[in-house]
Amino acid sequence: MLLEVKNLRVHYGKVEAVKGVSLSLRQGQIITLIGANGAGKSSILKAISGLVRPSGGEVLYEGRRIDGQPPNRVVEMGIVNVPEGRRLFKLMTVRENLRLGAYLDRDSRRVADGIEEVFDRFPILREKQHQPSGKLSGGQQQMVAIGRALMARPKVLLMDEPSLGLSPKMIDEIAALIVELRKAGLSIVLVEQNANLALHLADHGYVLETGSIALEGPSDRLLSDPEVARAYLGA
Amino acid sequence: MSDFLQMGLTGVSLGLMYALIAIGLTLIFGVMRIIQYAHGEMFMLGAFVLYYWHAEMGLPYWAGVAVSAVVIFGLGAVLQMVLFKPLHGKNILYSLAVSLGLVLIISGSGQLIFGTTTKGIPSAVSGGVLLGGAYLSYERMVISAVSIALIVALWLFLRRSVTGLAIRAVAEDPDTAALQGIRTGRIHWIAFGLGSAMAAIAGCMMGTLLSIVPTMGFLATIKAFMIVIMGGLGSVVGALVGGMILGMIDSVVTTTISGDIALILSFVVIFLILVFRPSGLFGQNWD
Repeated sequence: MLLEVKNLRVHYGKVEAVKGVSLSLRQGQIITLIGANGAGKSSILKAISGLVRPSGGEVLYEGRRIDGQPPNRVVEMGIVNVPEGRRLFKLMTVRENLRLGAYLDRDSRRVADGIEEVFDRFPILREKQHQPSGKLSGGQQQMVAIGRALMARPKVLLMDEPSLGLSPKMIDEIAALIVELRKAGLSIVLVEQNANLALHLADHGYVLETGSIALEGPSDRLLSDPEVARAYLGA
Repeated sequence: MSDFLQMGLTGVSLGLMYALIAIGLTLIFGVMRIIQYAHGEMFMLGAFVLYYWHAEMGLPYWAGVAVSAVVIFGLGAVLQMVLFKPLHGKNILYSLAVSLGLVLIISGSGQLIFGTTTKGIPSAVSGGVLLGGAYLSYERMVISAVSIALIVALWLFLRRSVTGLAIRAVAEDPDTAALQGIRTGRIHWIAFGLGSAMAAIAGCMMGTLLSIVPTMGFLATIKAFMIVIMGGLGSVVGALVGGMILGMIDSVVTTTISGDIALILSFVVIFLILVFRPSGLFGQNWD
């Protein structure tokens, strides 16, 4: 198992946002966490990234415990977070944002190559590289956010609501990109409110309700589950 | 005409000195969101380091400026790690109280240790040039040139170096900066040290061009806040422009009318700027 979350708990003050959640991600797999706003999906990703300290449970990466490690150590190990709402450094240029994605990389040659690879993947960003990233359209900002994460040459990508606020056409592009990234060997934890999209991309799905897992299983089974269909697929 | 040349040069050198202090303050605020009232104390201590090094011990002037910057960088970094770090993320009033306490402790000890008499630092550069009846001292010119070079160097550092990018990233969004692998705690002490060192260098200018007393930090803090508010919180360019405006007002109005009127006029200018641009000349909207 590449990444394992066991009985994870997260508290914000007295509020328990995550109430004992367990997940597992195999090499080359895409898993998805679906559920309504406030179900605790983002908190799980933040806990894996070390941005919030879990109040209980364990996070294991390649068999070693990583919970309680600071975010920079988690990034160093190859787990990179594409946060909800892109969270670009809006006052900084596209190029500077990408450069920061490879902050821990001391090899300037590899960093320059990485920026070129992102530009090859998203040619529009090459044209806009010297513009403040806050001036870009939503779709382009998502490209920068994903490009920035790829700059760290991750093994695991934690994607928080990548489809949020994008046009249908852009959502298709992001979906195609996620498929492509998996082919390139990345393992992905995908958090989505768009359950239909997420379950079509993922191998395995977890349905979260107020901090606990209500249901889990292979994506195709969840897609045909009448409960899921009614609550999350708008059927 | 000659008067204006002279007032102009004085205004530029004063403005650059103010700008150095204000840039330091705005850097510390921008990165850590703390109000560092003891910033003027760093300015004062920086001046006294050079005073003891050069005026008392007779060691080389420029080396003394560098030593002052390094010592105060270290002091700022230690203050951040020991006093402000534990308060990070808590109510801003806590760090405010700590920095106010620092003002009293540092300026009080300063008076005990350094004495309360006014002191001056002999400069490394002498002579000057008569230009159209105005006497322009080389000292002022050299010191102005050095401070311009420092401000440009800091600006380039923030634009070009990876650490500079990280400082700006932490200022804009600390959580997302951490997700890039940036150790925000490290950026905090670097920014605190750098900001304090800028104030120390301004203190060296003050001691050389004017005179110093251990109580001068308070007014420096007030002026730095005026400039930062006028230029826009967190903006280096704003602090530079704001510093120049205040320096010019101080120089021209103090020479032609009086120092009190200069202070009143500076506040009037700030009021006017804030009426038309509430977040300052180059300010962003901080949430």
